Amino acid sequence: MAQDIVTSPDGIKRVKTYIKGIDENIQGGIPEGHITLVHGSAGTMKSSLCFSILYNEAILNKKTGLYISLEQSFQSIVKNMVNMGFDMKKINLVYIEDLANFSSTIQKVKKGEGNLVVVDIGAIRKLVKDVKVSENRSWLNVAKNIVLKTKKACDFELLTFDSLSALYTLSTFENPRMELFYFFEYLRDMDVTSYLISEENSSSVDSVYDSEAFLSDGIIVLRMTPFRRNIVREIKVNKMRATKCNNDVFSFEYRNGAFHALYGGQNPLL
Amino acid sequence: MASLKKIFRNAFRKGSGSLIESKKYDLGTQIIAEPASGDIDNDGVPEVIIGTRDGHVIAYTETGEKKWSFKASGTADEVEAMFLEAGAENSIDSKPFLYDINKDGKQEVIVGTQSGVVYALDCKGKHLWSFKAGDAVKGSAKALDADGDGKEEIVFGSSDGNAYVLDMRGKPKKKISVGSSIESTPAKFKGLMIICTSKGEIIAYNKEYEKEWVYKTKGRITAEPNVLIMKNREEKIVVGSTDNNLYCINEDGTLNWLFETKGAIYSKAEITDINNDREKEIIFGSCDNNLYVLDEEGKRIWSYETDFWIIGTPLVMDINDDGRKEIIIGSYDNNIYVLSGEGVYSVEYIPGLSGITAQEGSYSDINTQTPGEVIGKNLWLIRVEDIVIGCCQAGRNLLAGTKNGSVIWLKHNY
Repeated sequence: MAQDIVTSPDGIKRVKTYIKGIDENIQGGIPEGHITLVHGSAGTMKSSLCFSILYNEAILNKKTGLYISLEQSFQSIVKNMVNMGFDMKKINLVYIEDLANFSSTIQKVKKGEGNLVVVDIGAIRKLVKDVKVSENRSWLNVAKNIVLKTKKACDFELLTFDSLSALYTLSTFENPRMELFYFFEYLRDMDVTSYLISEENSSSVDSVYDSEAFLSDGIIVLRMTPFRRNIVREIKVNKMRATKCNNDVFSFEYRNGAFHALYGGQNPLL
Repeated sequence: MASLKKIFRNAFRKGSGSLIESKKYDLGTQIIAEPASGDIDNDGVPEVIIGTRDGHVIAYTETGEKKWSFKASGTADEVEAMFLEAGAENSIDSKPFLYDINKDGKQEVIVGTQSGVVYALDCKGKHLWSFKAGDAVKGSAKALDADGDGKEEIVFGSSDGNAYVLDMRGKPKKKISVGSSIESTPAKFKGLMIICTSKGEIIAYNKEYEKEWVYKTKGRITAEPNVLIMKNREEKIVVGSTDNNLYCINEDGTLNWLFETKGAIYSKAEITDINNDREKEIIFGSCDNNLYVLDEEGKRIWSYETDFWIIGTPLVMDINDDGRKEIIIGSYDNNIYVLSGEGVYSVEYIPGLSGITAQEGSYSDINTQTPGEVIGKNLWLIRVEDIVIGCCQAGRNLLAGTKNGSVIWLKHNY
């Protein structure tokens, strides 16, 4: 994809993370077109954070986001977000659960409005379980086709892929590093800003995490740290290309309808 | 001294004349299949057939004039299409197979697609018949007498785990379940049909379609097996695997020899006499970046290292019409290499001739191997803009297809 050459730091367009305390520390947001790994163990709010970015961009900048969930159902995601105070009526939420209706359902995306397209691969897997899927017909192809068809239909700008770890369990990667390279390049060619969720403590992930980390433009690490008789969520930007970033560990909280990164809780340097 | 004279003459042999680009097309889509060439319309002039990533089959004259184009339309439904590679539902992934299936003196073009459809086109690109397999057809089709009835059939494998046997009108005669997907091209060997699978098996079927033997490699086989006829008239199957080895298999399915490289082998090993010594050599590329030339015992005669993987099948032709064969290989390093088929002898030490070191000459003049070794010799190097997928001969021209969809004609100028 031919892109204009940036001649000054101000020329780099950025997408906010909508985390108060992070955006200020990464020059205002993640550079457009970046592939950012959102890495952490279960319960660290990876999915919520990524959904929040797509949701806020839909409301504030009328952008269209695509959220591909490989395991968590659409209902479960929405229930969780609504419980956090997200108002789904403020965006045009398009839900795809059947590949056979993909082309017609994607037409529900409204031009000029903020859209969030959620593709529930878990539901799709249930529907196509009787369809013969031979060994080389990978779910990676399904994911790439969803991205391609959505791009053609509505030129979306933001993508969340939840999660890479689930993809590894669904597909056989003969050469993970090479196949990941081509997947990442595919996303770059699509000219979208991508958030790829990567799960910690998954044996299938550990072996390829190094490749993910190497290939991605940015890495946001979320973790839970025991503190006294509690658990503290923390966030750290490990890597962000084309960005001067503060690599400190922050406490990560969601309160008053927004994510916050704060100095506090356990001393991050200990 | 006559030998030494020849040594020095060959050592400094460069390609006479030059190879120049005579024509180039940008097809606007990728090419991932090797091109094929043959005089399909029997007019005495060869054509070149190219299959593309967006499902086009295009025929050119030997000099690069477009003759016809056919678009594979596919039959995958929306759900099936989602499981195929994005934007490549009708992609032609393997070299078109050219064969006179209706005995009219002209060759038909047979191609398979990602969506699993095999098309037979006549020499003008007109659709004759098509057949839908259960999944992608990633290897080329082949004509061989599978059932021993004296008539040839069209045989190909599919990613659905079956090998299909069709009659020459495209009607199914037999579907053989092999237990894993097939990305290779079938071969006929000593009355047996050889099918290689992506589980690394080399399976020999007899005319009753029963397994005669199975040899298991440790990788995936995408390469087409080739038959080696040895000096003693014994025949062997030679095929590479992604486990980095080239295998030579006896007719009873036992291993004759294997040659280990340091990279996966994806394409057919060419077997021909490349140095006019009346013995067959085995020529193949590997993802360890090397082109290898072996003798029939699996011993390395010489090798030549490029800067990246060699995926395509080596092409052997006499490009400059000097009576000596050249080996042409495309590499992922964006170069086309034209190598001398003879190689050269790199002399490190000649007893009695002190001070002569690291000289080069024709290896055929050396009776002992001790003073040095045979190495590959590059006659021409042609830089192109991207990865070279494959080359074929188009009359006196050389044609190369690149991954980003360029088709380049190269002509030898004296």
